[in-house]
Amino acid sequence: MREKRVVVFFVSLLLILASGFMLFAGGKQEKTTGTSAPKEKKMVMAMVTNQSGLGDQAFNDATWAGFKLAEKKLGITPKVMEAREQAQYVPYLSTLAEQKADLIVGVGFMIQDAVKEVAEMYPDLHFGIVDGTVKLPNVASLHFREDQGAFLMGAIAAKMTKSGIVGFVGGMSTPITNRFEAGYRAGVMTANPKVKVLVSYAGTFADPAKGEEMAMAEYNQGADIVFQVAGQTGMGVINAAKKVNKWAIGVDRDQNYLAPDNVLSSMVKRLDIAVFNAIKMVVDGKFKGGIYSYGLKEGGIEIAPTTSKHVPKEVLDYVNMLKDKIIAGEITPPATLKELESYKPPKI
Amino acid sequence: MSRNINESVLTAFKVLVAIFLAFLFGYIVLYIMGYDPVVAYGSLIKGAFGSKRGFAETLISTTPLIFGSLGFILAFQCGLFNMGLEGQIAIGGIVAAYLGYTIPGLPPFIHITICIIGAAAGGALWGLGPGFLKARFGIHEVIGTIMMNYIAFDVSSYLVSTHGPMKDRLTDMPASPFIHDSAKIIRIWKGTRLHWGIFLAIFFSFVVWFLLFRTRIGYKLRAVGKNQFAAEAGGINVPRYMILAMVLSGLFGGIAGGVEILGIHYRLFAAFSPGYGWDAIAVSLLGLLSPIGIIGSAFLFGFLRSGSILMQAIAGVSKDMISVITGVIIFFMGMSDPVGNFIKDKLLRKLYGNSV
Repeated sequence: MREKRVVVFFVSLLLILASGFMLFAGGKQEKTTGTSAPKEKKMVMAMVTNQSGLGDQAFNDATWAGFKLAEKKLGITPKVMEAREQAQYVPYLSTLAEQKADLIVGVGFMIQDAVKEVAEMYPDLHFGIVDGTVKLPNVASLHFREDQGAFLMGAIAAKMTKSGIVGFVGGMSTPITNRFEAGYRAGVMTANPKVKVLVSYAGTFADPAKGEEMAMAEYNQGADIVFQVAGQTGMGVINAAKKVNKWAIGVDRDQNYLAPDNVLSSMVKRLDIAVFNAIKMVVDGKFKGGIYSYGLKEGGIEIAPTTSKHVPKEVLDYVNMLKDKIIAGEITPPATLKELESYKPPKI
Repeated sequence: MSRNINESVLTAFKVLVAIFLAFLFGYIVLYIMGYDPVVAYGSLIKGAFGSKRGFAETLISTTPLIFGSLGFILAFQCGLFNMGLEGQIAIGGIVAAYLGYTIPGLPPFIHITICIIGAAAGGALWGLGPGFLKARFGIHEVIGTIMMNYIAFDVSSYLVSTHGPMKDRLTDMPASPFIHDSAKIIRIWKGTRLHWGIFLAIFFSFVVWFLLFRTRIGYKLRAVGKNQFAAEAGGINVPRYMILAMVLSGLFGGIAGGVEILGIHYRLFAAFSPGYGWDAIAVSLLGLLSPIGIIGSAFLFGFLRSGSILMQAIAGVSKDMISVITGVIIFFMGMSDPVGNFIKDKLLRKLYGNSV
């Protein structure tokens, strides 16, 4: 009998607590819905990050900058979802689709399959994919000519190296990072064929410690400039450059501020411009699926403005000359490692 | 008998209190962090139950958690801590994907069965190693299983890397080819990814319950777990049962991975499991290490996992917040005995006198 009482007591306690909780919750909800009603409905645009997440100082942050710009200029409501796990891409995207977001942008090549799956399920919604290709009428695929930018970085590295050895640290070995590598090595070859290039891949975009290890190994082998294309992992490369006081080259954004005395240059991918343009298409009601390619010509790839801090004028002039030739179509940097094999540096 | 029933009601109550306190704690944390807790919890519930797809996703996350927890329980009942479930899931996924895309032209039922048996065998093998080392040389199973995890993770990312043997040559994605249609576990709810696996998981929960509590093997296994010296004195071959427990444990890890590949992803890619193997440990403890109890706790964790997505989308609350809440649930679970006794001693004595 006594035990029964104990149970009854506990159950009633739980019920009281639970109902109190509900009342508290219910009361507050009314208030919030009351205040938010009169506002005009804004367009909601969302992005889903890759495993690096926001704060990678590169890829995701640059895309997010495009959303923030659109918030200011076009008055949209930007949303970001950080997907740390590849397995969660589909539920993330479809949750946003279910919320009827006006544009859903997946960031990074790895999310490509998931965007395709969800875009097929929701043919009336607009999707974007950065660095990937989805051939559907409701998906805009935003491509960048990394080969062109990496080519210029290679030229800078080859002109600036004192040891005659330069390095490259990639995140995972994907077609995109391979494109960087191909362009970079071709750039080195073009500017100074005698310079040796060390290449390593960390196998992850999310591990700065591993990036530091990889970069240290390359510096120890005599490299004095290392180009990182590795997301969060690349933060470790820049740390390593600081520690041994050698050069690093940044990626995606102007990363000079991370280590002002050790970041020689950065290959800037104007993801913000590309994403902003995609958002504008939706706002203007002119969205069209297909591939949008951003290179030097379109202003989608740039040399970081801080490059002039450490790079002397004659080198900069040389690099700008290469840039003009690429834009004019006189030089075509290799876009894959296969093309690199048959690449012959042009006479300049 | 009546005493037994009351005790189980009390334990169940403790679990509910722990969950409730954890959510209350989360409520306060959300409030302090400047979010609207009502909107956050509202979207958490809406995300997991508010739509057909959301509810299906809840069940989808529940499935591998049940399998993983069954694995954890089988080892734990034998006094062993299997920290290698995540690795066993990875191996199960590798085997299932490989068998799924290499064998053509089988009837679906047979093909799926072969794939799942293969996945189970792979996981079992991954459990056998640490189990053997523990039984034969006394090497601690936590170390053994964690080491096996690293091997499994790196093997799986190697297999689908640019030059890996299982890489699909038709695409740039670091993933294996898609499995044949005959290997895909049938989806049972149109417009969602929900598949038969959930029923398989519940079925196996009862199988494991029967094995542990209604067979001689299960009895001996638990005897080793309660006190291995007493078990040895009682004539039980302790090393054999340790190995058996680890093999069975790994087997369920393997099935969790295999079902995930055959039912959801249809292809192998590195790290396809978003930490189910680790969550399974918490699920098992919350489920009071009972093969039936974990069905409930796996559902709770599935709910948190699937609801947190909408919580992030609507309230902007990072899904790390969900990790905080699950952590706090486990914490309060550990606290529930002293807290329960305190309540019993101080409060009830006052209410009912010393007779409680």
